[in-house]
Amino acid sequence: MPDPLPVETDRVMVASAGVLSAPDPEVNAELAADGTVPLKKKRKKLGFGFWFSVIWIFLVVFGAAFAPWLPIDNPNVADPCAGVASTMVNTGATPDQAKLIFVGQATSAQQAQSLIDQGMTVPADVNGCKNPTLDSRVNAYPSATHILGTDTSGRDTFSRVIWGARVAITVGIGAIAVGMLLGGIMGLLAGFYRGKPETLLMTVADIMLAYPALILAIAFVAFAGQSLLNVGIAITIVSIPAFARIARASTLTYAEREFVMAARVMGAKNSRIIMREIFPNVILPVTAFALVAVAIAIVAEGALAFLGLSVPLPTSSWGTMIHDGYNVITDRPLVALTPAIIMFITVLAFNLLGDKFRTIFDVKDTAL
Amino acid sequence: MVAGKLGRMVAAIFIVSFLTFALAKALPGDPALIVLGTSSGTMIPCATNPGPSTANDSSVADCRGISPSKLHPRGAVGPPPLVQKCDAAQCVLARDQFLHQHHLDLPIMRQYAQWVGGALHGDFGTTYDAAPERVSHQIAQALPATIELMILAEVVALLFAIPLGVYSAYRENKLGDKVATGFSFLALAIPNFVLAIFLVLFFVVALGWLPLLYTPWSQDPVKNVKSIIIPVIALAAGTIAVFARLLRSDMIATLQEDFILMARAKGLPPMQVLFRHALRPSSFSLLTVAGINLGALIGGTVIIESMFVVNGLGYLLIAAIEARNFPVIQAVVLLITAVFVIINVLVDIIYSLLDPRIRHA
Repeated sequence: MPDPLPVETDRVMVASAGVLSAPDPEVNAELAADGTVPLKKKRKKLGFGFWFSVIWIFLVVFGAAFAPWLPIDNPNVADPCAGVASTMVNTGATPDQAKLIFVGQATSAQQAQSLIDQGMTVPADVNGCKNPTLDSRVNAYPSATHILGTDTSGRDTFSRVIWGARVAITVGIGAIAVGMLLGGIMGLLAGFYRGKPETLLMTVADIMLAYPALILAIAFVAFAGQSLLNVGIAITIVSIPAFARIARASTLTYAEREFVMAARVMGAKNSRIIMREIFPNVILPVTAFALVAVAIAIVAEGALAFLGLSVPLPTSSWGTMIHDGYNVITDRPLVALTPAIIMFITVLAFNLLGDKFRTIFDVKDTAL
Repeated sequence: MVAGKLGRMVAAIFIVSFLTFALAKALPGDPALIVLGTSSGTMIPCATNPGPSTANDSSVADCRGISPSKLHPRGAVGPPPLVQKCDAAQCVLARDQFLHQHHLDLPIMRQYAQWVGGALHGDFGTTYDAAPERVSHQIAQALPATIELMILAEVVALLFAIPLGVYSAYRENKLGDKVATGFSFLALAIPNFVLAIFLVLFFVVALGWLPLLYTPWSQDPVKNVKSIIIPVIALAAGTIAVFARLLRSDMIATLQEDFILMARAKGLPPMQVLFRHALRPSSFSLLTVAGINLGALIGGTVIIESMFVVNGLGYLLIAAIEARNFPVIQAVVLLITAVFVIINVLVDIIYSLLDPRIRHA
């Protein structure tokens, strides 16, 4: 089988000239003329996995962006009926009996019933709760009132998942975007100028890589204090060296290529060569890694939150939710399972997108 | 060459030790006051005041009164618990005693020198608890569980990954390989604590086969083995995928070689060709990554340890962070990082010894 590689790389050259879109049919025809096998853009279907990932990520990002304006419960406040509903479960009382028990008029269902029989009026509104049902109790199963059930404090799981997405997406995309920018610039400059700047920048990157990533993030948040900003900074710091290495590795390969020579011979300045010739090529592997890195960042934020080291309470984060649910996992598995599944699907979706991106643009694995 | 690598390793560990130290020092606020204002476990007693004893209520102040903003670390939730009432003079004295006891009254560079000097002798100072304990003692107690978890995860990962990788390479792009690839992808994507949740639900909650919490080996070996199954699988799953993918791609390259063709032509059974002839030359990068991964596992154990209440380094670290027990945090972070760096360098050296191509390059 003839090696399709040269064609493939030529196509990347085309991309470098500014045509960052799908391969031009004319280019393929030209290449076919000089004897190589034309790159038949196999109209490979993107497949179910890809579209599922795109839709899922769109939903998560949409929820994260518009959480305050969505018609969902307050994520940090328990269902007003949570207490009464839990009383119903614990004592086997009817809603009216439970209300009486809850306000302290009675201690058991029988006593409450006899009080009602004696003509005591049941308060219509207990702490804002009018018609308690079992759907409102803590750790409730999914129902019409709470479509994903409630958590250990009677808060709506669905709304906490959406507000948790806000933290996950802010940290995931925000921290990785900054890490990609800083690390990318570091790697690009190191790979292009070589010499002393390279030694300096890569030594810094190596020292950062000397820390196990999660330990560095934990130590940073522990010392600097818990806040969304600090969690973001921690994850950015951890991600910079990886981006720097990828950007440097692929800059090194492109800096030696003929089209860079050509630009240099034509008198292009270094800044132009970097921006117009090298950057468009380097951005591909860096972006492919960035998609995976977003998934890693979401996991890292989740891990920090699980350890109680992410955003301060009561702000909901998927990791915090999983941790809360883990405490009652033997009785109410769903409380931990729901956020765990949501997180898993999100992480999987970003991984799938990264993988697809790699296939579509034929990014070779660069040395990590 | 080996000497150069070792030199860089020592330099890296020193830089890391300095950064770890500096990170703790950069924290705004007075460690003594932070400790004075936090949970009862890390309270230091009111100093016995030699000055005028003012026991009447109006002058009695909680130590938090000195500097509320400093006593309430950012991120802490709720009011700091009211632990002990000292008058202001006692508080100042208690603070001085505390600073002196932990050598925090020295100039910063001397503190660092003292800390590093002690660390080189395996002495990481004393904890900030009311009854100070040696940090090195706590670490020594935590090490066995972490090492057990790490080694087991690594061994399990290799045991599963090697046959899987060899099989995938042998059946390249056939159904079995594709199924293995799909599972690898899932295993790589799933966070270890999420996998742990799924495993707990299945094996503990639904089937009731395994216990939820960890039992140390010294307490009950049988229970220990049962209780460590889920943590080990949760830690090993992603690693299995990484190892298997790596071995697969190296093995596919090896299987193209002439000596494999030769072995096949001789009529050797496939198993013998795969495991006796092809595996060894394909396993160099697997060895490297396996070594580096051992270091990375230390980070992964933190969360797994706190999930299953394994009394290991990670658990110690998280407990120390909650109690703001800085000497313990510094020591654990330094220790983990140093081990990580040392493993990486050792792997580098062993790799070049194993593979002549690198040695002579």
